[in-house]
Amino acid sequence: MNKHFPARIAGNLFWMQRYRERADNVCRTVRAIIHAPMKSEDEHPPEWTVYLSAAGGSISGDASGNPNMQQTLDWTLWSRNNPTSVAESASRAKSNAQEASDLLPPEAFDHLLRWETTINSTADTPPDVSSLAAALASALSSSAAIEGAIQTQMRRDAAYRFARLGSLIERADNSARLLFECLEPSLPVEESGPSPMHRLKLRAIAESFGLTTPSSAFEERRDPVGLIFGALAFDAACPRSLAHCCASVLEELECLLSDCGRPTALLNEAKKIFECVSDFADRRRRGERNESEFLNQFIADNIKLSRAIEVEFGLSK
Amino acid sequence: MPNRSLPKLSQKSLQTTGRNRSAERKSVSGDELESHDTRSGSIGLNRRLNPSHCWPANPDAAPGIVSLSTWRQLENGLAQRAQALNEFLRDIYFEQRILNAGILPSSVLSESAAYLPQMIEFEPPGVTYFHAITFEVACVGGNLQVLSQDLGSAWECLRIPRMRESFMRSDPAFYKHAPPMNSDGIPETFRGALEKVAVAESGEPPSIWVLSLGESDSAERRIANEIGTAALRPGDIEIADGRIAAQTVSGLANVDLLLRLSSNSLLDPLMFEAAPSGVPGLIDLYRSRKVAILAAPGSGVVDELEVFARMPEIVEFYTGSAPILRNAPHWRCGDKADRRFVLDNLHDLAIFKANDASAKPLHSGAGATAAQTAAIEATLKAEGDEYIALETSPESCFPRVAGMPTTSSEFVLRAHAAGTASGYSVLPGGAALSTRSGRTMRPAERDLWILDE
Repeated sequence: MNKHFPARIAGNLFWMQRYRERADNVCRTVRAIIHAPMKSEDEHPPEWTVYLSAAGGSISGDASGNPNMQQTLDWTLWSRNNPTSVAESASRAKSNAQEASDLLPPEAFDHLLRWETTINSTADTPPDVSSLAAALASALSSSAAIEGAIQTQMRRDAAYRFARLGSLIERADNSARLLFECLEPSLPVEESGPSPMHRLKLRAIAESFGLTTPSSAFEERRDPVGLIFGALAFDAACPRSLAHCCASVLEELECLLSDCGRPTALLNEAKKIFECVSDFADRRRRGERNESEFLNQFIADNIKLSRAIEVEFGLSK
Repeated sequence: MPNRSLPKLSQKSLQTTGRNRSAERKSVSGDELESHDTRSGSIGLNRRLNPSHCWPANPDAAPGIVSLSTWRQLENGLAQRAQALNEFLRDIYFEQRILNAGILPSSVLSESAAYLPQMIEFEPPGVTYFHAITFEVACVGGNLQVLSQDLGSAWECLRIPRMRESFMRSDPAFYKHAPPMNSDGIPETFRGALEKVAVAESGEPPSIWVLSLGESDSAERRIANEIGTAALRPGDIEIADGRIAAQTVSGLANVDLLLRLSSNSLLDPLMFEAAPSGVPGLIDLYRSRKVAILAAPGSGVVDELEVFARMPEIVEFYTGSAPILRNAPHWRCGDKADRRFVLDNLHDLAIFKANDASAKPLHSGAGATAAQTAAIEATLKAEGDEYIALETSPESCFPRVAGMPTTSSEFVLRAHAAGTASGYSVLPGGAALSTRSGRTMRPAERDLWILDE
């Protein structure tokens, strides 16, 4: 298929990857927060609420108004009433993939169908916390296989670039939201910095999101949140960092606009976000600490860019 | 005159008809059947009898083999039919000489849902009503007989090279002996047949798209992939200032030709009530030559059984030559002698409404219950004029080619003709559909080898 393929299908590729990436992110977040030992099955550590809200895991709870651990996890991961749950994201990714299957490598499409089937059959009988790790590992490994097939088997044409843009934009959004929650002031802090439990969670997050920060740094540093922020916001070598995602979006968008013979005005939006990230990294090195404001702005600009891409290419028509 | 001798049906061939019919239907997924049911109803006669022939068929690596001399006869005969059918379509929308000559009763057109009054005195681009057509041919007693003609599945020719590739992968040692395919250019020929009639004003190669209107568009997407284009849904199409364009990632792109599998009635909601999801204004644009549509609206008339039954006369009328290929036996129940024969042989025959494009037999030979048989008997006696009977399964056996396995000769052959600069030509290759499927739930589909003796 040439560059004149219908915008509708480009939209399907874009959103397939956004939903897959969203499901992937929720799995990583939950994997991180269940990684550290729990105090008891029913107790709800404060980190839970905070980090799960980055993954869309806020529910009204049971009759008493206080959701227990299992309810929160089920809502976050498996509920079909939660539009950002892993199960719902997987279903939406599948619907989009089916529409665009002609442009996907067969292996990627097959992996995606299996990934969705596994997730949704798990959602029918959700596992308890003790056996959740295996389900998350399976979902993450299948998601990696989909991404691997796309990366290794798709020609670098417009179809690939739409899929890639979807993935990068969602990833940047997810990382920014997670960082925003890491900065949440209600998280427990002791004299020497975050509580040991919170440090463990932060370390688990770093591991789950593939940051290269050594584990010992989370115990030694007074400011482990800053450690995560530095890596997930500015480390261009980290594939989930804002800096990496912004640079890659810019690169893909430039190629896409050129391939499709489109005006380049849209590039300015992407450049602006990229420059904001670089600029804030410099300011932060000079001691500025208004991270929340920066992240709020980043999330808003990223949403705006996504919408602008959809409008420019007619993806959401 | 129809051939009144009814070939004896073997036990094996009966196993693929009658009682097993419902099971065969079930063996095809709902999606596959649905995708065909939403088409124009232009499903070939053999498909009427064997709905399980719907793609994907059950593959069998043993090829069907025909001699080059048989193939040449078939090529000439099918090209003659295709040419006659295109002229027939022009005639029924212009002078209607065939009606005036008394060869076709006017009721065939007036009762046909596929006949479109909107096409009267409209000449489609290139005077081409269809770019490709599929035929199914049997060989009975050494004589080639055409079983069906079908516009709706002509795109299946695109599967021929894929099928060969798949068989070669499954048994590379055996397929080393296969004759050269000569069918690598089928997608190009198919596309060429479309380009021949596309409306392109820019001087650039015409912009061809596949129009997808049904609930399932898997067939449209496959075709689009094979010919290097994309399937468009109505939402992808913009009509403005008397032009039609596709919303693509590169902006609005020209639409010079739309290849469609869906029926007339789904095309344009401004023209047909049954087309709420069609493209409003499409028929007007077509009539003002802003876009070409293939197969042309109204061309589905050629799939009517009444038309098929008269093909020998139609061929002779338009070409001035005797038909090279005969029709498979059929019996018009309006004729007293034919009706008597049908009533005496109901267990071996399938009964169809002559002007019903739904492609479903009202009675399926030995598969019918006693009550169903009694009901159809009563119907035929009361209003036989409206029914045609066909054999449930022809015992087809192509002449053996020296040195090749004897088991490979029993099949029905599916071939496709496509429009070229010099008229319709039969595409190289095709499929061999097993008529001896035995216990197989679906008739096996085989590669076709054309061998020079």
